[in-house]
Amino acid sequence: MTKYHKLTVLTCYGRGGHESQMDRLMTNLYPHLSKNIEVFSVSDAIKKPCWSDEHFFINELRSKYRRNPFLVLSNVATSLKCLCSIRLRSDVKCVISTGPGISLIAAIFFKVFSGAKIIHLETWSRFYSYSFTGYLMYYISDEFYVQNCELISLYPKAKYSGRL
Amino acid sequence: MNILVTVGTTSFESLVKHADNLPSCYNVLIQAFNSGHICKNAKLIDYIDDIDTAYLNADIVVTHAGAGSVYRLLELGKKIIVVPNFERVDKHQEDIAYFVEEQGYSLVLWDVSLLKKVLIECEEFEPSPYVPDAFFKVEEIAEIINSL
Repeated sequence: MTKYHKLTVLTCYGRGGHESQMDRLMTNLYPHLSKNIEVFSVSDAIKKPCWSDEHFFINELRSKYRRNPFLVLSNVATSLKCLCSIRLRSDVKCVISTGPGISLIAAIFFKVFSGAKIIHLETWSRFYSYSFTGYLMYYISDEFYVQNCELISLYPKAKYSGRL
Repeated sequence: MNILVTVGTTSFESLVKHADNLPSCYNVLIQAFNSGHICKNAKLIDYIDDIDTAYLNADIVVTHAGAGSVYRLLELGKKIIVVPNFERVDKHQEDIAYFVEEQGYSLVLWDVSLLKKVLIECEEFEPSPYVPDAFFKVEEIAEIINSL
């Protein structure tokens, strides 16, 4: 018998546009989820969303204005610590991400240590170019959705989902 | 004419400065979080609680090319000028700027120093109507999760 009563879906997103996308997705998705599922969220957005049962704050992995590899490494370490604490208290069986960087770390971590299913929605702001996160998540995720049909030419095995 | 300039939560000082220098025939409100610029002509505020109302009250909205803001404004049917923010390390705002320009949804300000010129063009501009292809994978994703 499992020590966990519920199965956990972990949502990962950055603040701003990625947060808006996750909010639009989960507001529509949450009512369709089984009662034995709990939703956690991890983000550099401070606010706990209404559809999240528990929210974890971490710093954004990299600055939008200055490249600083040492800061990135430090934030990766902090993020891993947070993910470890999430793993200790829950049975994460699915990671849903809308990017950016935290998605990669969480996806790899829970895929390796929990065998979690990884669902990624590529950002609605990309049409003609790869994002760093999307480029890698295309190979890591089990389900990879693009919101703009122009991206199918870059990600041939992706599923077109329409726009959140 | 009421002009709303919105840069979201990321720094875009060059746009703020040029918006502040627009002629007095424009009534300019700038939303810019934590801007260091001291406005001489325009009104500058950090954050707008009811942004939809501010959007609707403006005749033209000049917006950074953040996708959330752009899509919301297009959904509201507003006449907009999209300004990609090249002060950021990543240049991802270019993509959506190319998209809206190509589709005729809005004008794009590629050079912020040309704000006044593009604003004049925008007064006569007739945007193409925006009809989004709505997200249709909710049930599929729910089924994937529920079957775990």
